[in-house]
Amino acid sequence: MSTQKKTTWLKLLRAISVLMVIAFFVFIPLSNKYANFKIAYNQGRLVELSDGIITATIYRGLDWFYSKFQDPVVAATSNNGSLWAYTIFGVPISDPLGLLSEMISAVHFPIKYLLGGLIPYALALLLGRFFCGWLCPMIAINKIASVVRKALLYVKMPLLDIKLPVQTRLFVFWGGLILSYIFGMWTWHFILPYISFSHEIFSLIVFQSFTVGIYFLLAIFLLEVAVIPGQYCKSICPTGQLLSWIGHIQVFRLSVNEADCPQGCHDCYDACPVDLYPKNNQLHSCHLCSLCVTACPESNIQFGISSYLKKLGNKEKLNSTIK
Amino acid sequence: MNRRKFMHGLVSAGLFLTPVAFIGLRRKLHKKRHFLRPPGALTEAEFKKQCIGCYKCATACPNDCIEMAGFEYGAENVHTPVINARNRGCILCMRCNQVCPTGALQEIKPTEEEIIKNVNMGVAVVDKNLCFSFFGRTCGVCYRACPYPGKALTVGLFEQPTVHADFCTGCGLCEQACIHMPQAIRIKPANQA
Repeated sequence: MSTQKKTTWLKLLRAISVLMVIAFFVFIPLSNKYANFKIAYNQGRLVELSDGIITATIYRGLDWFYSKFQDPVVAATSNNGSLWAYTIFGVPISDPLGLLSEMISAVHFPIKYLLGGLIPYALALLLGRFFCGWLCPMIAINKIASVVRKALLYVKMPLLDIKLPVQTRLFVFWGGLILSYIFGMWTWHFILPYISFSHEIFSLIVFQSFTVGIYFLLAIFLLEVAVIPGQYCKSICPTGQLLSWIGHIQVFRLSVNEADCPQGCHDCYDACPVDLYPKNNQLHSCHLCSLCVTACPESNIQFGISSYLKKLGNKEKLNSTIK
Repeated sequence: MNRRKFMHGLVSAGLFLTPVAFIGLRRKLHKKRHFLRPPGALTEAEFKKQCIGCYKCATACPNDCIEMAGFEYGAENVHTPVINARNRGCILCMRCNQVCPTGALQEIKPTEEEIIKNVNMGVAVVDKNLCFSFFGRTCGVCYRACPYPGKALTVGLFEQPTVHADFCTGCGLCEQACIHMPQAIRIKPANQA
């Protein structure tokens, strides 16, 4: 009973966190537009006369929010950027992969951008690929793609199901680095759906049009539907590769009580979207998506810092035996 | 030669030819495009290296004049900020270079002396064969649009415009304002000079 409650909560939390991220993509350009209107008109009625009732409603909502700050215009303009490099209320946050690409392609180390890398790096050290399981908008795209795929399979469309080896993302990662060094510019931009997603939402709001990213987003969506279902995050995404390298120690991780597992049960393996085996503690590059926690019939799998300590203890034991 | 060997050869040939084709393509696309970079941009080659396409400058722009380029500006300029002066000129507020995280846009203080000294997006060029004022029809729209009238742009008889390259920042407000189609006054971009 209690496990049932816990699992529904986890699912709900995950959905909410992804939706929050997508809402944030909308919030950033809107708050910048709000700052412009605030400087130009400073009144809801004037905005309504010039840009219509919808814009005016958004303006009034944001005005209510930002009027709590000391200077609404400064607060509104301190939010900007896309997922590649954000500033959230003055705090810079930059993509670790973008940082690497910049350092390789330009041989240039901008302090503002490097400081922004601190928070994602720290999070990756603590939580591993937490981003992939809880924040990346690719989760939403995957969900829609899987629903579409189910519907297509229901009407008996012949769809492929190719399993890519996990090592593919190594090729993507090193290939991208080498290409960005040769051409002196980033090259991963196109194949990263979360970057494209934030760009498209921005240009839809500001310019009322899509940029080139929409083609790549569509291509990835179609691949997910028809050719490689659920394989993008597992074996192509270079960010996933980098995060699983950084998060190798991963302090906060899943822990499994193997002793209590019923024999022949592999529900956790079936549930895992990235083909890991939690039962055998094969949890390198785990997304912390908590699907195995939901699936486990005995509620043996738990989040916690304990398994990290256990792992450390094992290592010490191993070392002592070797000596 | 068996099939396996043939496939291997095909793949390696493809790997070799792709960069060659890419370089050829980018040369072809490069010569056709004329656009401005936001104020404070480095030289074109350096800018392209350091810009990461994070859209910060475009979100910060209060005039929405900074567009993020698609393939119409060439394959190598995708997701970099460009200003299309005919659509919308730069109002020289210097917000875009304050937010740039990588220094591809160098920070410039929003004061008149600093802007005139450091902003060099291009230089306005008047086409005397098109301009109304050179045919005795007094216009003077570009003079009124200019952010530094009397310095960057001066007018003579019938409001015939003269551009002073030392003061002209290349903001493109004159090109945006010009009532002749095609424009009699245009910005010659600094990055393609």
